[in-house]
Amino acid sequence: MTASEYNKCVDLHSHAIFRFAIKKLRNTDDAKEIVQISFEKLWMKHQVVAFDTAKSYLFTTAYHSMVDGWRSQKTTTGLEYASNTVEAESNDEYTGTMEVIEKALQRISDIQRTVILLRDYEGYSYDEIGEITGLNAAQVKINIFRGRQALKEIIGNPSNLI
Amino acid sequence: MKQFEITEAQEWQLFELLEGNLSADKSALLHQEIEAQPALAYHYNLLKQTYSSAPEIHFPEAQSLKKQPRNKQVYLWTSTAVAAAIAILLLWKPISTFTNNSTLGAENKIGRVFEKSKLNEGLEMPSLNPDNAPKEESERSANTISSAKTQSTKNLAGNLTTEKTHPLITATNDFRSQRKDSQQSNIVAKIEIVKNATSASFAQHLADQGSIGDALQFNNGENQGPQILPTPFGQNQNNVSGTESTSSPKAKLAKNPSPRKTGLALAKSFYNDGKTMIQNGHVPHVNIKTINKSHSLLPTIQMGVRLENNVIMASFNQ
Repeated sequence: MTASEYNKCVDLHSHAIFRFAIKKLRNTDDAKEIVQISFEKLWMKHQVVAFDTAKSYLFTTAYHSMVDGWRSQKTTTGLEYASNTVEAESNDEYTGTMEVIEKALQRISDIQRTVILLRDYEGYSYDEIGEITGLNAAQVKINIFRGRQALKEIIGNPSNLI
Repeated sequence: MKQFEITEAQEWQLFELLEGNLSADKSALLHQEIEAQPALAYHYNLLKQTYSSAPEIHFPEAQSLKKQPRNKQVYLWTSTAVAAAIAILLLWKPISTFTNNSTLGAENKIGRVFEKSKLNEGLEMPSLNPDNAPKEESERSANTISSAKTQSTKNLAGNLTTEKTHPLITATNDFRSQRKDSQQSNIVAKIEIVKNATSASFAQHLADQGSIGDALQFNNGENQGPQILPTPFGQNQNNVSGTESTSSPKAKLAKNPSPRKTGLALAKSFYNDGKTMIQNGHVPHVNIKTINKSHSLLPTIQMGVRLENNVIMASFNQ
């Protein structure tokens, strides 16, 4: 991958990586750091990684960086959580069901949230999600199913969010 | 709510339908069932709401992630290297101007004449044998030096009266005048030795003086006169003892070899030699070369300053 192709990757995928990270971490600063780490690693291996596979590489790197837990293990206080998530949600126009789903996503397990985000936001196939998360296609599919079941229960009874 | 309960298999079928994993026939059949059964329709609608589209979120620092194309990087590094070379040359220029135009010019000329007489004309030293030594040559050498002395004196006087006297010249006047006097007196003494030398007396003088030439070899037995071998830079050896006048300097050197210089002593010796070279008017050269051409890393540039005789004054990596 040339430098110009790398720059093209920045234009094409940086927003998606940021969105994926912010939905998982719920913290703007941490999400920015994840994006920077992902693209830094891509640049370090830009001679090995092809342009066509760069998106998958970026998501895989971002996912593993988040799973590594150097940030996710950090307990976030309620005040910090609120102050950091306001900016993230300021661009979103959540109304009604969207807001409920957004909150419900935080109630399901991390792997279920990850596979649903990759499926819905990025349109990845089961195999591609499996490459990113290290699961096989069947595991991905069942995790999506279980996650949607949980979301359906929350949406069907919003009092579960209280 | 209990009237809307469905089985796990039915829920899986709804999931497969929404995921788009069912064929057209199965999809049509399931849609008919959904319309017929309110419980299926209820769960189908709820499950459908769990599918969300990506919100518009922009990464604000995307531009900072971008990299410069490689050719531009090389261009920038080349520009930097050229700028550094020019800066070093400009820094050295005052020194070279100082050595060429200042009162040190007198020393330079004397030093050069003496160097030539010591190194180049030294190869013709067998002619100093009284049988076939033309006195004109040594006289010519002495005249050259004396004319250089006269010229340098004029230059010295001229420079001291001009307004372009460098502050460093003024500050170091005492030191240089002492050094000049001692050097000139040494030169005159040595020329006198050369003029009056026979093969044996010349050897005796040199053995007693132990100062002219740094590594002298004599071959009196074959009557070829003294041979003066120039010493490599940084290896000056002024420790030839004149106490044992019966043996040749070569034998003395064999008996008392100079101690091997340590790294620090060698560095000091190089520094002193280089300093002397610059004071004698040698122009330093700046070398720049790329020592790491790996295209995955930025090129590493080594810069060095050396003199005309390849004495490396300074070398560092960028």
